[in-house]
Amino acid sequence: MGGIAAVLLIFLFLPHACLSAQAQSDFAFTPEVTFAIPDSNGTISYAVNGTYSNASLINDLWTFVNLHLNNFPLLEKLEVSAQNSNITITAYSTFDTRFRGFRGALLSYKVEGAGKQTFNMGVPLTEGEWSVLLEDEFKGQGDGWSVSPDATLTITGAKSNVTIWYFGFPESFNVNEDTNEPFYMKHSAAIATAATLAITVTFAFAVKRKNQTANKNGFATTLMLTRGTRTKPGGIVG
Amino acid sequence: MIWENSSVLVVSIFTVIALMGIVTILKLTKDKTRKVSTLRLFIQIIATVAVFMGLLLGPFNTPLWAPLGPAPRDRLIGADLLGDQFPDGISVPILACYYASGRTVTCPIWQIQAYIFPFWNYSRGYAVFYSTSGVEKLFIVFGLVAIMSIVLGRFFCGWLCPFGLYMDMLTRIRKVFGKRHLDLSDKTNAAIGQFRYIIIAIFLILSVIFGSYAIFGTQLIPGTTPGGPLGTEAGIVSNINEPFCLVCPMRPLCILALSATGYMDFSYITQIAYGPFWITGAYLTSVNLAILITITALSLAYRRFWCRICPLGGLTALFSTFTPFKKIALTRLHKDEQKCTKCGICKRVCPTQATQMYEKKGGDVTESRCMLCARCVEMCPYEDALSLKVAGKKVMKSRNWL
Repeated sequence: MGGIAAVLLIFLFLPHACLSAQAQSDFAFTPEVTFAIPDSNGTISYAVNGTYSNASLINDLWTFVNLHLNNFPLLEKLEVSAQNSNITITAYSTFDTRFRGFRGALLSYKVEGAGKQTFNMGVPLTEGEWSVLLEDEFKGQGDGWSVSPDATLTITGAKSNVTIWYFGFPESFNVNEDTNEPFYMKHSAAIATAATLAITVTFAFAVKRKNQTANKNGFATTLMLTRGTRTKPGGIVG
Repeated sequence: MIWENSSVLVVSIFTVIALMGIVTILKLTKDKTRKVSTLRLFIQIIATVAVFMGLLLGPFNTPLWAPLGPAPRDRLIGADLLGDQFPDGISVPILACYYASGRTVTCPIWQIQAYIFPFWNYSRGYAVFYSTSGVEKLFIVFGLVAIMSIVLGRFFCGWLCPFGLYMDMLTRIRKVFGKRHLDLSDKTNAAIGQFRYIIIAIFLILSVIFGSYAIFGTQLIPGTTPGGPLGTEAGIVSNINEPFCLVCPMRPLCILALSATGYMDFSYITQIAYGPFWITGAYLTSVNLAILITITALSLAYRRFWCRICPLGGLTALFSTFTPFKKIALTRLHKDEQKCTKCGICKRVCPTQATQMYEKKGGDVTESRCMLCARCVEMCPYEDALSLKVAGKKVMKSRNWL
């Protein structure tokens, strides 16, 4: 049995092992590695080990392709820049489109130096909202941070810890908050369920009753047949 | 033209294949001891494809900014119709894993846990808005499960559940190797049958404990406050709020199978928790994988092992084999006492070792362990001794195959 289970599991795991082997062609880095931006007097580093398939510095902007920090999901593209500051990216996470088109992202970092940082995670700007937590306090846009039309986030008010949240919803997403809607419209799903349940129970009950009646009749006939046989051997049931 | 819509085309082809397959099996299978099993296997495969039909329907070639590679794509039946009132899809009492890509319906166990846990709004990290309360959503879930269970009972387990198919495939693999299955003692089997309800209770209580901050405003487990300095607690909390899913063997099985075929990225398997909580996530994932391996090994030895302890099966049984639902459930296994010779074949072939069809004198012999797979009906060698009835009408009966 164990052998068969092992074969099954090998079939399930083998493709993943191959994929892991393929991923080893990426470039690895450690927390000690810094990505410098000499013209802006800034550096970028990561708090944990990781890999990327390509990293380039163009116009004082580091672009990391297929960035994969250990124990974090893969990020297809991250553009980072730091001016007069040294930043250490500590965490990121992203949410996929599982929830009816919802998209979300999180990035947090530590900073030294009162400079400026910019980030672009490839998140579409048009349909979402940004929240920025500076030193454990949510700040409104314009209060230490801003976002440009190409979804590049610029942080200027960071002193030590920064967390950036993004929540995106498709434009079609429309929460039903119309208070003027009648009760039966607001709760139509529950009402439909209750109605279907009531119909099902009624139908099932009716079927059961019908069958019970039929069975009783059948039982009576059987009883008569049995009695008839006993009292009148070979006779006709009357 | 209707055929320009690829989804309609796929569903149409699928329906034609399904119907043709069923008719072909019914017409061509001559072996009376194999006819129902073959039909059931075909319907199980069809049902599994239907459950994950989203993989066939796409949307394809949609650029995904999500970094985990191929992302889950749901094509939830009824989600558009029910809208914000019930956006997670119709509940069907089968293990249609919430975490897998392409599902069309949703496992009620996930929904029950999620709706107990009122952690679902924009400001707390996830963005499914509900215009209905948790109680209302729970009513819908239980209502749907009750309706389906009253009509079909555990037919869902025996004929439609994808995990049931997995276990039946394990049984077939075992047979290829010429190994005979093992049986639990009746006492043990009955005891683990009761265990299903303990599992439900434990995980519902855990859901409430993990969601205590959101429910009562008191944090019973440290670190389960939403938000937090890095905002990451919400990530783990909103995953552990469905504690049963963290131990359910269907979740890793789906992700392994889908990532092996390129429909999902393998990183989803560790998505339970990442970032600062990666160690917790790694432990939970390891436990989940260990459970899958254990259930796989046990199901190789004991037929349909998981079905004997499955809380979802227990829930379905609750609405179909226990009073008052027992009195009105429409799909029943029936025994004709006059025609039964007590040969015991029915008891021996039952994959979950149900005993009522053997021990009970006659009439309705459906019990909570019975998955209505009709294997006993198929194998019973006495004409009409056992039958499967829907709404009082015989849809299947035992035949003299001797």
